[in-house]
Amino acid sequence: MYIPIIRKLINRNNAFLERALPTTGDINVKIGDKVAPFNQLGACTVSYNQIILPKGFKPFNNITPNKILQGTTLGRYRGEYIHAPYNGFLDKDSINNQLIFKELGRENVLLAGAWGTVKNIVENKSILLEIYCKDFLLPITCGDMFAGELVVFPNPSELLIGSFLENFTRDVSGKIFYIGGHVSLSVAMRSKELNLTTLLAGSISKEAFAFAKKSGLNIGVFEGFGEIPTSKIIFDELKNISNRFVFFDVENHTLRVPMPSKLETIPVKKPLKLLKAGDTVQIFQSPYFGGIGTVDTIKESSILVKIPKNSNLVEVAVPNFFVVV
Amino acid sequence: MPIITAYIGVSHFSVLLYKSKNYYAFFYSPYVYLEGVFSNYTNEEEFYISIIELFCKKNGVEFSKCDMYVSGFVSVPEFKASNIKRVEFTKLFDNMPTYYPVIVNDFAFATKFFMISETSFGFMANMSDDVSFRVNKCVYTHLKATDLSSQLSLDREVLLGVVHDKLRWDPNTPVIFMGSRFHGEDDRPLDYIYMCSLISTPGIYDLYLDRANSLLLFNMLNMITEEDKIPLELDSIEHVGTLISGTGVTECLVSSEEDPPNVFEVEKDTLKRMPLKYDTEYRLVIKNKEVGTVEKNIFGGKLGLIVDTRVNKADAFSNIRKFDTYLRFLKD
Repeated sequence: MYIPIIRKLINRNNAFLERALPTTGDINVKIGDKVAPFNQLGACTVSYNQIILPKGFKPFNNITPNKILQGTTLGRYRGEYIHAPYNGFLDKDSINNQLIFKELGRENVLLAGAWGTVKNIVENKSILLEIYCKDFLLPITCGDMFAGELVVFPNPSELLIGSFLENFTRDVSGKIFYIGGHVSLSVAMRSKELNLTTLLAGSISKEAFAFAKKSGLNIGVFEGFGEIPTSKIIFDELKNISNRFVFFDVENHTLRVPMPSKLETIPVKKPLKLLKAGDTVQIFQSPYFGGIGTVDTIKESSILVKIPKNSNLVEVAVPNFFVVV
Repeated sequence: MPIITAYIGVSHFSVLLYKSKNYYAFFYSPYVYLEGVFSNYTNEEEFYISIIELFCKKNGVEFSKCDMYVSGFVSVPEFKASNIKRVEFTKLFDNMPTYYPVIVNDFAFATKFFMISETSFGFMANMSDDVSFRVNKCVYTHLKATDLSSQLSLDREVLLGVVHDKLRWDPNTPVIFMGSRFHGEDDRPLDYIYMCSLISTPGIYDLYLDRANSLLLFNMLNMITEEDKIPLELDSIEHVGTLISGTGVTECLVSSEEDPPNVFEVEKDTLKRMPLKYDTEYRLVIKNKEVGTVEKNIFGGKLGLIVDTRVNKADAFSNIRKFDTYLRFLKD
């Protein structure tokens, strides 16, 4: 029988990665340049915050509109004084003819984030890199694309996840957390309170997933819903790449980890494979949902699978498994 | 030139390879393309073509020399290959001969003028923690329930949606059930109970089951070629039997040229079955407060005559013990 292939981890030697400036700026590299993760590709000035001032707002005449310090009184609206919440300047919205208070631009530096070669450049905007990488499959994702430093917890138990969250999340900005085998609702809620933006885990409860979607938490799950431990083949790789700058791609269901050098790849020509005894399969049937084992016997409408740490063979019905390559 | 018609269901993929009225073959794959699982190394087109190529090879046909028409539930993927054309799902019911077609999968139900899906009755919101199979089925839609309670849990949601929306069934046209929910070759009594439960309008119904979606695939072929290519007898269509659906006590008289008349009464709020010979014609007379007094000629079918006097048909889908008694009625 022919069974579809699931590729939980793919080594790629010619993947593309787009690095873009948040607004137009200067690009410091040229096509053909070799770059490393901490090389600066470009820079721009960005205003991160702005306030649209209400119609009827009257600015004071004595303020300098192009440089206003934090705390300065901007003017009055309905008898109330409005103060500058940060250093900024006054601007006018040309469409609505409304005054806007914008934060002074801060310099934004674009780092490569990966080892690679510059393949293409969109002038003043973005750079396309060709890189070596490992792509981890995330069948369940929600949220937005995010890039940051990967922090890997060592598969703590449910009880210990709380303690790990409290002790290892002091500086959370720009980080992606692999928090263990399972995300429960309480873990998702605590993560949100601690301002974590992106969580990775082996599995997730449906309540936690619903909460994440509602609260804007980025989630990537390696296996499925329920309490399913992360596959050994995934965790063994993850623990070796802690603190690496990685890319969480929601739409493509991928965690992309740039690598410094060429990788050994396994070519897959067709998405289906003729199943043979000895093949590695992932089971999607209770009580071994998510488990990975080796095919022992192939029957007409089921297979017998040998699972590590289980002395008995497990019978799995077609189509509740995929071949792992 | 051989023609291929294919239907991509929620959890299976069925294919018809047609060379002539005397040479055609069906195939179904219990796997479908899953965006979250396969998109990291392949795409929908490559996935389905790989399956069809294997099927064509087995039948000594070269895929590139075939014309292929694809439809699916509910959207149809875009294919770049020039020999593949798309057929919209809504067109599949056009000119369906003889039957009243019903497509059911684990998340949705559709007839010609009626469709409901999980979103219309809050699928995710209703789930409790013990049904992780159902949540995982949202991601791995091809999964097959291997225990009764998981399947009942899926069926119940769709059934409640159909009951809630008060679908009116037409007893005058034979009803044919198709779709991912019934695909495969399993002879499962729970499929028959589910079919009976979905029909809530009182009446006498002639029930058919098409596990290969053969009628859908042939109908697609007819639409394309504009000539009748459907063979008169399709072995893949199973005549299930006759269903009397109506609450309250039901009196029945069944007779044929070969057998003596058989009179029996079915009490209220139950499901009973009377086996009949598959191809034999019977005279049926029934009396029921909702259906009225009706005389009708029927053919036996696989199960014979089924009398369903249940008031709340969704009840048994949350009560395994009750469901089990119905299973026994149908097995006997």
